Amino acid sequence: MFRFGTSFFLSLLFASCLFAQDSDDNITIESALETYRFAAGDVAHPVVVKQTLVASYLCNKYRAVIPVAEFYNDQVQLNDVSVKVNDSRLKNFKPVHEYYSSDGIFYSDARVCYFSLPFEKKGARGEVSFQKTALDPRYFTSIYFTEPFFLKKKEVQVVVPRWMKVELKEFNFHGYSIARQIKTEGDMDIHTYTIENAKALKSEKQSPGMSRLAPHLLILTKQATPPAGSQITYFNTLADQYNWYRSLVLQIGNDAASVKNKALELTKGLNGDEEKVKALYLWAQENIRYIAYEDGIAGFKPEKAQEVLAKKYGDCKGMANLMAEMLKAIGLDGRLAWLGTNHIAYDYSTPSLAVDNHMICVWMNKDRTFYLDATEKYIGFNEIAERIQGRPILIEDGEKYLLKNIPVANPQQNTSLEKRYLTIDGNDLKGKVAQLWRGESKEWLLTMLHSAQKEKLEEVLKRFLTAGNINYQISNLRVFNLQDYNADFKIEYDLLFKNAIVSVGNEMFLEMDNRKDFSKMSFDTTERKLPYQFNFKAHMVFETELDIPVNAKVASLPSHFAIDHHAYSMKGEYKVSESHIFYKREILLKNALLPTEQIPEWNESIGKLNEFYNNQLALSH
Amino acid sequence: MFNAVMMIRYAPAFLLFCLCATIQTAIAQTDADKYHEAAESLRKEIWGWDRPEFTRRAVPVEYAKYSKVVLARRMDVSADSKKKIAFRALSLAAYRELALMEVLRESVKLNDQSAVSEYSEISYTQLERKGGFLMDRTTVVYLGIKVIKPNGEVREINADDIVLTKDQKKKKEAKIAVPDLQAGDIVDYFIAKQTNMSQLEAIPPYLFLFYDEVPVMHCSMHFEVGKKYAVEYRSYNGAPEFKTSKGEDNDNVLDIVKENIPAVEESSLWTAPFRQLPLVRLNILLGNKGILASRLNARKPGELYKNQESEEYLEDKLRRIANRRSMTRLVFDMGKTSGEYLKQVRKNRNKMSTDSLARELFYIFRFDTFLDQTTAKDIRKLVEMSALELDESLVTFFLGEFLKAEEVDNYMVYATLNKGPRMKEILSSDDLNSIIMVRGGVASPFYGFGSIFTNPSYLPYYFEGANGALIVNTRGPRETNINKFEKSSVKIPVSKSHENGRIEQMEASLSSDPSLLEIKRKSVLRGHYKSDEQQRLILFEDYYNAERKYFNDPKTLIEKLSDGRKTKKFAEELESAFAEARTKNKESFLEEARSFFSEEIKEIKNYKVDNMGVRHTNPDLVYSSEIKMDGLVKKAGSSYIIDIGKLQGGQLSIEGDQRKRKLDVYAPFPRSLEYDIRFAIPQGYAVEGLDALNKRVENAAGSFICEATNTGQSIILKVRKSYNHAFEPVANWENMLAFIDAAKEWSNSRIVLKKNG
Repeated sequence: MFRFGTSFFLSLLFASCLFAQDSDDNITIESALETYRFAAGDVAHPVVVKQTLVASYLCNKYRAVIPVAEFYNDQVQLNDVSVKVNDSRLKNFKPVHEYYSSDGIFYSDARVCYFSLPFEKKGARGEVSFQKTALDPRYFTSIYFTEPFFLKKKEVQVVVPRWMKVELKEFNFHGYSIARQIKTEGDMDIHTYTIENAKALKSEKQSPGMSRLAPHLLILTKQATPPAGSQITYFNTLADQYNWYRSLVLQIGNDAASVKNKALELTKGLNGDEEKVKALYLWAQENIRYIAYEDGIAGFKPEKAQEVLAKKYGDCKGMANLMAEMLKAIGLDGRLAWLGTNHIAYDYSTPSLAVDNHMICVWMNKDRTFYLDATEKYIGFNEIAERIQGRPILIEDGEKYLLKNIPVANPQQNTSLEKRYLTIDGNDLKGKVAQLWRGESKEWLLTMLHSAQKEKLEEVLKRFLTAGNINYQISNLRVFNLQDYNADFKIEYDLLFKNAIVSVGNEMFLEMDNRKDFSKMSFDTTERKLPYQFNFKAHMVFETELDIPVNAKVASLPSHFAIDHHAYSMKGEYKVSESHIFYKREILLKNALLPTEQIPEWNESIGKLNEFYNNQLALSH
Repeated sequence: MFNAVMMIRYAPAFLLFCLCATIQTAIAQTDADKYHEAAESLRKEIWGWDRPEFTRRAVPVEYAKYSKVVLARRMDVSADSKKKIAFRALSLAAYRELALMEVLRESVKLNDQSAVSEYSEISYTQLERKGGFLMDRTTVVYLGIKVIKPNGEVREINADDIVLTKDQKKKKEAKIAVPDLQAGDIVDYFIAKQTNMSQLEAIPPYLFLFYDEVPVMHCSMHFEVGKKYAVEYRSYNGAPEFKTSKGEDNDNVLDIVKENIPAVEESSLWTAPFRQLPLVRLNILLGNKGILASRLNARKPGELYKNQESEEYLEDKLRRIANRRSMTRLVFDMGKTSGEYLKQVRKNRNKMSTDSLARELFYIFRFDTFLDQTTAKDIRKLVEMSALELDESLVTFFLGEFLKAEEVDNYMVYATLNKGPRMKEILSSDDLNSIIMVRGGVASPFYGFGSIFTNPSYLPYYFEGANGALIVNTRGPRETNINKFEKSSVKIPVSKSHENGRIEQMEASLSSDPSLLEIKRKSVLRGHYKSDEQQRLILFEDYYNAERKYFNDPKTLIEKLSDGRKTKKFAEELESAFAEARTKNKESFLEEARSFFSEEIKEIKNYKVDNMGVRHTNPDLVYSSEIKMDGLVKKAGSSYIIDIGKLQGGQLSIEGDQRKRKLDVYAPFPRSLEYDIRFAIPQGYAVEGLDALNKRVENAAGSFICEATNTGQSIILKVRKSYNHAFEPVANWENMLAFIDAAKEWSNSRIVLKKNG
């Protein structure tokens, strides 16, 4: 991913919510006033956004010390920070300023200012104020309303001079008490939003991005004619945004010749364009490491293709650029394309730097479009990751652009299939097992396996397959396509499942499905308040063909089970022939996002699935 | 309760203080140009080492199976050595500064992606300045990286490609991404750390491992130490010995070379590297032969000390006590509750046995130090007791001094950790941990402090079985002459497995919704098993109130604080925090149940701590709860199959490489698990499959036993698992596996409830 101002800061905001993990009403924000003022700047920065953020905290129950943090970077300066405790300056106040590092980003210019705010007794008050300046209104993309503490009242003022053309777009206001007002003072419009009684947003694992959850304004900075200057067009239209991106692309300075040699070497002897693109894509996945720099303009401008090729690392932009250049080098139509992952709530109808956070390469092959995201290290050619499926994508097209939507893959792209052929031997099950993984289920597993040390690979794989059950004994393990991400990842092994059967008198009880996929996926609705984002749409199939021993017959066969919901389906069945029992269980997760309101219904379905799992087969002699 | 009062005496120890303060230090030059210039010159020197192991490219075929192979690894250290004066010129070699240069160079063949990832990014602290009254230290780190491609092409990485992730005056942290790194490449890199510091500061000790999880084809170390310094060293467990010689200007030179070290194939489970694996330790110490030498137990400048006697390090430790006594005096300032009780104890002391007196004093000390709080900056931290982490040795020392002040004679006991070096092989006074030993009683005399819940006569597990532990009578609090300290040795006892036990009493039955299992559970935790759950489950408020009753204080903490004008506010706030903690206690019990069973818990109620286990008269932690679990009841026709083995909770599973073992077993302590499970047979059903639950694996190392009986109304399972010893010779490993596997396998046990008729 690459940094487009807002999206990056959203993650910081979300992280700061971690402070509210134990969110209660001990510390609250009684009132807050935030003012964002567009103002004329200097020659280098003709328009700036001056920001004053003041929050007044109250200790309601017992003395405490809380952490306070504010983020800034090269484009957004932090000019001043001050703190008052009970109306007096805090003694020995020494805020710490540091680089802020976040997972997955090698280096960024993000910085954090943090300090502890003490409340010496119940009733103590603290006032924190920050002064910030965004040096370019392009980077000022959003205003979030909630805080890591319960917020009694916050007023947000956006002061827009008439020479500035800005649109404020509201998101996620539903469910919050937010009043809005516009008044005019001189040649300025003052937009005032007042939010009252807003709870802290607690982070919950696997939840969608903040822009989909928290009430906020998206700031669409369109145009400015500052008093002493000429007209500046920011992102008045999507074409403006594209032109800005394109201006950066034109500055890249790719050296086609040095990339061409490599592209030709990698595609030598291959016939057909698709074979060639596959080879190039696989090579990039395997050989280019993802390392992201988010430093100033480097957060937006792709690295030169020859540099990425030489260094064998790059971020999404660098990888996309190298892919596009390699495609061009062999005469194919490779292009750069911008998009926001599913973390982001917006589309290109609202031109802004907050809209996208990712770049990939697109291969335009006559009437077909292939989306090549080399940051997805173990996904197959033409397989599409959940995080970009269905997302609007801005594709370069010379002076113009193409706007498309990435197709939505069906869950079968990510099928995982396990098939067992078993016989009964005393209380043990014996036989052969074949398993395969496709798409993102394959990618998930290969990520785990490739991060294992070579000498421990088999052990890691066995531990995964046995899931800690020492009776599940694997031998003769064979692995296929560990390196070929375009093929299904497959394994085969011989299984001795000791004591899988409980024999009582003339009866044998047997659990056919020890995987029990999704059995623990119900949610405690008293805790889970946010939608649940699965990593990808799943399709999990588990089948067993069991020989019925001579002289044995089926005494009890669990009933069929099927749920067909618009967002998922689950089914399981046992079939009996003269000599075999066939078991098949299939789960299809059609949507990767489970909205909060669907959780009770989902829990009910998981309950039924568990009921099915908890029904066992009985054979008798 | 204890305050250290500084006593200004014009004793030599204080003189030392003054001397240090007069030393002027300068700040090393740090501007970018000089840094680069120094880095370049260093690279030239290190890349130019005439050491053939770093030009080696071939790796034996049998090593191809490893993720990486270390072709060469070398540590090169020079401390104030003439020969390395060139490095010294890189900095402002200030008056009386020590120039310490440490270079670690490695050449590593990368065989897979995991190795590539490991070496693809390097983070380090490029500059660090630490200043203070006694020291002024600047550390600068230089880096060199070369990548050698399979065709022999060598690419040196441009060190200017670093990014700073911390850029402050006193600290700079940097990162570099290594470009063009692929499986099959060799990475040859070094990290050179140059430290300029006051000569009175200690150089951190060195520890080198002569084992690795991958093969190391050549491993060497080289030290050049100026004659102002003494060097002490020791090789452990078959590691090679240093060869010593004299260098320029009579510097001491020490070298070790070891070739072809095979990979250690087994896991680190229950190992004690200081006792089992080849390693080398070395300390560079300030020599002193002046008037302070004996007071400091200083080593002689220029001297090499191989395999020093452990008494030397004990002496270091004792001199520290003597010096502390000469500068400070402890004053015990009791709170009201404990102060009043102490008066009563003093009044009755003649009627009390030494053991009773020591215990009473222990409880007073514990209450006054940890519980009797009259204020806090952050109440939540106080209530959650998370702020009360102990420096065990220090608290124990203060306890000892307190007992002495109350005329309960006690000695210091010093021993190494049961996973640390053997007593006779220590190389630092920090290897010695201490507890106290109360004199004149009949109960177990050892008093340690593991947590704020610790009882009297607590012997920390890591002390158990210590051979050659040393007892020192440090005499009265004013005795500063260590020659008057009397020394002897003692064998520390070991606990029995039943003394460190978890006992689970469970009454299980099918719920009205038969897919759920209902369990009434009572847990009893003993010995070393207790402290984690005490920390998790006991509320500060309950602990305080239980204890203050022992001290005949009729008032709760809240009542008491409410009485005080200054503490009234605090009382109000504490009351709110206590109420909140009580609400959150449910989550703690839920977490405990989840972690014990390794299963999801559907519901929990009637949870409570029945006995906190904080008194020697009633030492077990006992708690109970009622829970409901799903997923353990299966149905087949009209029969139910119950996963009864899962009630045993999560069991240790030894898999893969962990099963192969050549090393003796160093587990933390002997321990036992006992489960008494009564499962109510539903009306109209009979139990089958019970025989398969009976299991008996019993050997010298431990046991796993299950006896199952059917009373008609219920089935009763008595399950026992015991690890008999903390230490087992590897010859007993198969025995250990036998009962560990049996317990793991038993957790898959099921019973069948068949409908009658």
